[in-house]
Order: sequence, then C-alpha cells, then structure tokens
Amino acid sequence: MLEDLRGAVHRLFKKPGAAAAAVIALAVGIGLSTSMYSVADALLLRPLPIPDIDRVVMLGAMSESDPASFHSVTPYDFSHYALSSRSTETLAASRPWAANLTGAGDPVPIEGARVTSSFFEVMRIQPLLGRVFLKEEDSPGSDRSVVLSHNLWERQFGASPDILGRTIELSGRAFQVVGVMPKGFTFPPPSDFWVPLALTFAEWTGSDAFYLRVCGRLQPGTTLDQARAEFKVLAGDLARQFPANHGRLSARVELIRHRVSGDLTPQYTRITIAAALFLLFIACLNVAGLQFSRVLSRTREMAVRGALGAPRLRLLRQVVAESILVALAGAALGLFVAAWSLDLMKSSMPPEVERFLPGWQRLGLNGLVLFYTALTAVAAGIVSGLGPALWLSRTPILENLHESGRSATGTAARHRLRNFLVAGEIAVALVLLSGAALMVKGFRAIGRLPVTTDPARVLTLRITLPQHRYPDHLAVAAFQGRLLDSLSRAPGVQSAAITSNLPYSDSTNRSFVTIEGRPSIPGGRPQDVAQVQNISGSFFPTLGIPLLRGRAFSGAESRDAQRTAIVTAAFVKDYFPGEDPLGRRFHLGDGAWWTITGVAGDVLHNFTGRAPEPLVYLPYTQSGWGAFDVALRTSGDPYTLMPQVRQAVRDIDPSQPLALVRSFRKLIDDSTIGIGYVASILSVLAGVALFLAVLGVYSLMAGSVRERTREIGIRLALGARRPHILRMVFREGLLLAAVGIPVGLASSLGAATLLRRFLFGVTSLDPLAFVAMPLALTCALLAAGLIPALRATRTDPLIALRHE
Amino acid sequence: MSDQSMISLDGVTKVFTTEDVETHALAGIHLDIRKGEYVTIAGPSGCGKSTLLAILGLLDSPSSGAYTLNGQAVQNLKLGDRARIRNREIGFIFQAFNLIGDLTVYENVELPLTYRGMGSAERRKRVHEALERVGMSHRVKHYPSQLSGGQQQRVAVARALVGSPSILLADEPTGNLDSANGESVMELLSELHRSGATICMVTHDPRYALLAQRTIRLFDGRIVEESVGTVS
Ligand SMILES: Nc1ncnc2c1ncn2[C@@H]1O[C@H](COP(=O)(O)OP(=O)(O)OP(=O)(O)O)[C@@H](O)[C@H]1O
Ligand SMILES: [Mg+2]
Repeated sequence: MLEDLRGAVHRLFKKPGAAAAAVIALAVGIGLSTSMYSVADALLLRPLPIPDIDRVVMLGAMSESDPASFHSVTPYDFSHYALSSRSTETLAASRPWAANLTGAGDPVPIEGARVTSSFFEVMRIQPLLGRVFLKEEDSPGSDRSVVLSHNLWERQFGASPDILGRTIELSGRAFQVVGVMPKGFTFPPPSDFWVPLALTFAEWTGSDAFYLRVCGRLQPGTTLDQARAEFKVLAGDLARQFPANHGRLSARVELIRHRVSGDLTPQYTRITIAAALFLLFIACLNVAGLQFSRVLSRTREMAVRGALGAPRLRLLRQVVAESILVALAGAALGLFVAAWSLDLMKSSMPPEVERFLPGWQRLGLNGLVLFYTALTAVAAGIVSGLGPALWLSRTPILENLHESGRSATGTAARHRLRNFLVAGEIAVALVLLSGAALMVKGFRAIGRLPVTTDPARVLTLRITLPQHRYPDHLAVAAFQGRLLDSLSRAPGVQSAAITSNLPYSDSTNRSFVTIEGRPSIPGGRPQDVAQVQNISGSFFPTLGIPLLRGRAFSGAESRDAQRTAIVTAAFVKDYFPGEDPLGRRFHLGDGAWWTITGVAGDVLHNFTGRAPEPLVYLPYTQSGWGAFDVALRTSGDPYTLMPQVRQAVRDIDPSQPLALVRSFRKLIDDSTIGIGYVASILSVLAGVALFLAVLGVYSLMAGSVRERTREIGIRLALGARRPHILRMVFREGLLLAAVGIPVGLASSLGAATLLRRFLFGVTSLDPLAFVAMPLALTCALLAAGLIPALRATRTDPLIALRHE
Repeated sequence: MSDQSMISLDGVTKVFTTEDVETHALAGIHLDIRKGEYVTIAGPSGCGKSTLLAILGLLDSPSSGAYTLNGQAVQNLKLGDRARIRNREIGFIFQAFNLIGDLTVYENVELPLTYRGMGSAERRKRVHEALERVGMSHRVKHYPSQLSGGQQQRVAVARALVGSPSILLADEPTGNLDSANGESVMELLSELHRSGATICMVTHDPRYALLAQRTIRLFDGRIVEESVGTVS
C-alpha cells in the first residue's frame, strides 16, 4: 500500500494542474460540509455545555388537538410530576423573567429565569465562580441570590473576579451574586441570569395558571419512551382531577437539545448540511471525472502491465490510492476553508439573533468535527476513485491493448461513464440551484408580506415595567396611558400605539378559547386556541391594519365596564363561519366574557405560518401586563424620534429602560435573519455547485476535444465546415444537459416539497426555480462548452496527414 | 496551361516559419494534372511530398503562386469555401487510414455526403455503390477496430470516392500495410483509374510508382524529374 501511495504521489505531481483542480474542488466541498457539521454539532448535538445532554429532557403540556404544541404547566402539575415520576431522577421548574438591571449606570433590560434549586442539579453544571442555589433558597424570603451568565458577567461587569458577594439590583430589588456560569450556558435561552423561583405554598397549589417550564434528567437506564409513557399516565391523573382546564391536555417529553434551539434551527441546519453534502457529491463527481481522464490516459500502460501479469487488484488499488490522496489533500485544505467560513458566519451573525442560538458562541472545529471531516474525505476518495477503477477492471485487457494500438479515434465507449458523471453533476447542481432559488424567493416573499403599510416609517421598542413598582394592572395601565398621551403629542408622530406583542416580535401569547353557547366539555367542539394581543385603539392606524367591521377601542374601556374584543377575519372564519360575530361572546379560560365589537384584517405574526392564525385583540385598559411594545408611526425617519421617546419615558419613570428600539422594518428583518442566513448559505453553496458543474462540463468537453483532435482534423479534411464541428462538439454537451437537467428537475421538485413545509411563500411550481434556473444552468453549460468547441473549429486539418 | 488541365500549379511555394527558422518546403512548383491521369509523387523523406499533396487537397494554402482547380483560382479562398471544394472535388486516402473509430463502416463512408447536405436516400445509394466498388459491402455495420488494416484502407478508399470527386489524393496509402494488402489496395486504385478516376499518389515504393502514367520526383521542394511510366 505504501508503494501504491508513493506511486500515486509521483503520478499526481506529473500532472499538477489537474491534481490541483481536483484538490481545490474537494477542499471546497469538504470545507463547506465541515463547517456545516460544526454548526450542527454546536446547535443541535451540544447546544448547551452540560454533561450527558442526551439524558436531559423537557416536559410540557400538549393540547390533544395540536400534537405540535408544547405548553408550560401549572405549579400543581409540576409538584405532581416531581413527586410521582420514577423515570426521572430530578425535575426542575423555571419561569422566564425579563428584568431591568438597575443601580449600575443606565438601566439595562436583561432576560433571565427564576428557577428551582434543582435546576442546576438537572443541568449538572458546575459554576465557573461561586456556587449555585441551595435547597433553602427555594423558600420565599431567602431567595435574594443571583447567578450570572458568563456573557452578562463579561458584558456588564467587565468579567470582574470579585463579583461574588456583590449586590445588584434587578428591577429595583437587591440580589446578591453567588455564582457565575461557564461560557455558553444559557437556558432557557436567552437567559443571562438565574434567581430562585421561591413560590409560596399557596402558589405551589395553583392549578389554573400555566407558567412553569419543566426540565429533568432521566433516571439511568430509563429510555425516553418509558418517560413519555409514564408522564402520559401522570397527565391523565391531572386531567381527571381538573377536567375543566386539563381535560384535553396530555404530557409531552422531548430531549432538551431538540427543544432548546426552537423548531426551525434543526430544520435549517439539516437543509444546510444536505446542501453541503450535495456540493461535496458534485465535487466527488468532478474528481471522479478527472480521475477517469487520468485512468484513460494510462489505459495502454495499464493494459501492458496487465498483459505482463500485474494483478488486477493492484491496478485498482493504485487508482483508489490516488483518489484518496487527492481527497486527503482536499480535506487538509478544506479545514482552512471551514475555519474561514466559520469565522465569516460567526462574525456576520447579529447579536440579536445569536442570543437565541444556544451553542453558537462555541461554534468551531473540534475533535468530533475533525473526525467527520476525515471520514468524509476518505469516503469522497473512495467514491471518486471507485467508478474509474471499476471501469478499468471491467474492460478486458486485450480490448485496451487493441483500442489504443489500432485506432486513435475510437473513444465513445470510453466516455460513457465520464459523461454519466458529468450529467450527475449537472443534476445535483440543479437541485442546489433551484433549492437556493426557492429559499431566496421565500426569504424575499417574507420581506414583502403585507404586514403593514410602510413598516420603515414605524418606530418600535419594548418596555418591561418591574412588578414591584407596577404591582397591578392599574399601575401598568396608568403608565401606558401617560406614555401614549405624551408620545402622540410629540412632533413628527402621526400616531402612537401600545401592544402586548408586535407581529414578528419573538413573543406570542396564545390562549384557549371557548365560545358562549358552545359546549366546552368533551363531546363537543374541541377546545381551540387563538392568539391574544392587547392593544390600544390607535394600534390599527399605526400599523396600517384595516378595521373591517364594527368599531375600534376608544381607550376609555375601563376594567369594570363590559369587556370588548376585536377579532380577526381568520378568527371569524374559524369560529363563526357564515355567522355574524358582532355581539357574540367568548372566554379565554378564566371565566371573564369578552364581547366582540369589531373585526380587523388579518396580520401574519411569523413567516412560518402558512395562513394567518385566529387572533383576538383586547383593549390594554382591560387586560395586559407590564411587558409591552410601543409603536409610533412617523412622517419621516423614525430614528430621529428616539431622543423624544427617551425623554417621554424618563419624564414618567427615570429608572425605566427601553429595549429593542428599532424600526418595524428592522424588527421584521431581524426576525427573518435566520432564514435569510440559510438562504444566503444556500446561495453560496449553489453558486459553488454551479461553478463546479460548469468546470466539470468544461473539462470534460475540453478533454474530449483534445482527444478527438485527430478525428476533427479528418472530418475537416473530408470537407466538414465550422458549423459541422461546432454542432458535433455541442451535441455532446447538450446531451449531458438533456440527461442531467430533467433528472435534476425531478429531484428539485422533490426537494421543493420538503422546503415548502416550513417556508412561507414557497410554491412547488416556482418559475424562478424550475424554469429560470434550468435555463440559466443550460446557458452556463453552453458557455462552458463554447471555448472547447471554438478550439475544435480551429483544428488544423493537416493533422490528418500526419502518421500518428 | 492546357485546356484539359484539371489541376494547374504555377510557381507554387510553401515556406514554414518556426522559431525563426524558415523551411522552404516547396520552391516554385509548376505542375499540371489532366483529367483521368494517374500521377505519383516520389522523393526522399522531407522533400515536400506531403506538403504538395496538402496544397493540392486544399488542406493548406501556398505561400505564393497560383493554383487553378477546374478553371477556378483557389489559392486564396476562405476557410469555408475551401472546405466546400474539398468536400466536392477532392477525395483523400491517408497512410493511417483515418477512419473514425466511433462510426461504423457505413457511417464513415457516408460522412463526406453528410457534409454536403445530401438527402439520405441518395446517400444510401452512393455509399452502397462505393462499398461495392471496393468489395466491402458485406461489412457495413462493422466498426473500424473490427477490420484488418487492408479492409480499413478499402473502406477509406470508398469514403474518398463516394462523393465522385475530381481527384483522389493518396499519401502513401500502403505505408501501414503488409505487401499483400498493399498490393491489393494498389490494384484497387489502378482499377479506379481504368474506370476514369484522376489520381495523385505519394509513394516511396518504386514498384507502385510504375503503375502510374507519370511520376514526379521531388527534391528539396523542387521537381527534379518527370518520367512517363509504362502502363501495364
Ligand atoms: N507544419 C510544418 N511546420 C514546419 N515545417 C514543416 C511543416 N510541415 C512540413 N514541414 C517541413 O517541410 C518539409 C517537407 O515536409 P513534408 O512533410 O512535405 O515531407 P515529405 O516529403 O512528405 O516527407 P516524408 O516522406 O517523410 O513524409 C520538411 O522539411 C518538414 O520538416
Ligand atoms: Mg509525407
């Protein structure tokens, strides 16, 4: 084998140009797939730096009508699960808390979680500094400790080593820093701090409010399925005990690494990995094509060796050794490509998005990834070497001797396999091209969704009022009323609105809906879910949403008056098909009846939704809480209003920070950044694929023209004119396209149905993807064939007179 | 220039320039070939035989001098026109047979007619006639690699004459054949000549030169001797 390798090195250096082309093609293919592995490794396999992550699960409530749902649970549910579960060794509850970090310069909004002391036990994660929570900190009164994330510690406290013991103020309350977590740990994302949950006994017995997120570590030897079965039974207990609000709920148990990165990240990662592997496959086909030419040019030598008795296996090994060598060289170079592309990806990821990507900070090459790369390289070497080697082994020695001896112009049979390889490249490249086109198109479609009119003219920001200073709804509504008043009078503001959550912001609030007069007990229409959004009356004009029927909120709706709601067209379609919704009533699980007084146009709240969800708008004066978004429609550049907005807030409450101040356009763009990211990665991969396919066609046709020089000379001597020769050479290229493009098109249609599943605005019969891309590819291929074809027409017919 | 002259070269020279070295491959050739003549060109290696044949066959153009083919001056034609004349007026027979390996015997012979844009029924008739004349009509579906050298050269002859050219040009057609096969190819050419074909052939072999009516001897790019052979 060593001898084979030495021979291979020798032969590769004899034709350095072709070898370099092969190495570069593979370096790109291997490098880009390595970086995609790294992304998958960081985001999917080990999104959190916790030991035995595959034993850690999340537990949630699932509506029977929607198996994809994953709701929080009530404190009572948690107690029941924690006491009864045998499949888990520890369960922990957490609840997100958006707090304001005050008392250290300007107030800063930060997000964190209140957790039970068992939380860190489940995570089995050691703090970098200090300690985690003690059992006694689970009780109210002794719960003023805080553990910081590495990121917050660096960002806000300059990574000071004597942070321990310091007191910080969270939304005006003092907490003592007891620990700092290691880098990369943020759960639930994007948590930057943890404080004890410390519910009171009364709170622990509550079975109405679903607000706890549960995670746990499986008992050794217990499988995920066993845990699922057990929690299903336990959820059954709860459903019997509380039929009114648990009646149609079951339990759902998932690995934490599947839940932590959201629903889309795994899908995106899979798409990019698939695309990278496709690209790698093209690169392999390319190298196989090159190897094939090398084998062809050595046919005679091989035949002579064979005739002299060299074992066939030996000859095969030589060819495969050469390919593996090329692949390993490609892999070595590919690591630079990978490192470089990872750097590029990391530096171009906006921090607002990175917060939601646990694991992203630790993105990089590591042992596991390198192992994959090495495996990929060897596989690529074998794949690209085996075809030519097998061809060689199937051709009888005599025929090789004969062919190369007698007729220098008989090449068609020898080209068949190589043509096949290049047709394959074309097909795979087309899949990538049309896939990328669909992604880009989908991404663009999102940007053009009719969310609102002119979102670039709308300034948005988020305010989170601390509970201890705004303890009840009245206090919150008072703040909101003053703010609205002051903002709507500010110069340059056309209208100002308050809402619990803007479309495309990352928070949504869904609730069970029961329509008056319709049974809510088993046997009737299943309980349904709608999005709930609190708004001020000016919300519709501010965002440019049409009010289709009825009237808008006046702003004077008081808590004691009749509760009014505006529903969306989608809500009417779902709940009142063919009926008049105005005047009808519904409740949202807490027994308070809401009367429908208006119908508004539909708005998409996220880009993965195929159609707008049913949504109910409630007046902020009658419902809502301290975390809310503000939207201002302006006549000019919205950012010029920022000082006035800050001043308006400071006038009401100087300790109150603003968060996520940006135009609505920017907010939408930020929310689509992930998909934009995938679209741009796919575009890059598709571009490289196109290049490789063009290169493959070019080198095939150039090689074929080179080999057929004599034949072309003869044809010219017999009176062939330029168009005859052009036609002859192009026919070969067109034949490749005629095979590759339909195959690629069929495969792309399959890929499109996969993509369509989670991308709004993508249709399977997209003309850009399925007409323009094949045409563009054909043009590129024709262009690639043009140079060899023109060269062929310049062949000197005198060549026919030479005696070989 | 006589009226019967089908080919007339007047002061044709050919100079090759490679890396500042000028090779005078042909230095003032005057040559007339009449319709129906059988001319051989002989001479030592490098004397310019192939170059002369290439110019006669419009594969190359002279550096100076005039070339008249069937009354038309052809020395300065464009590439496409030269190809067209080559296709209609010239039939080539090469030393290395030069059949195209991916095409069958039939397709090889058909090729010049295809480039002429002839209809397929007419082509079929002509191809079968030509193969009949060289005695290869039983091998139409074979590929060149399945034929012996002599058979390949017969097919090449059929391809040269299928388009009824004014002249057949042959460059050492027996060079790659053993003597028995060589003789039979020569026999074939003589037969064609007897039935009216005009032939110009380069050969080293004095025996074959004798088959021709006229032998031209080249030396250093000049005609040094013209002898009239005895027609057997
Ligand atoms: N393309 C070319 N470039 C440069 N020199 C050439 C070229 N073709 C021919 N020559 C030179 O012109 C001269 C005549 O060559 P030509 O091929 O006509 O000789 P020949 O008589 O056919 O020889 P042979 O009997 O060996 O075939 C030679 O000196 C040759 O080296
Ligand atoms: Mg010669």
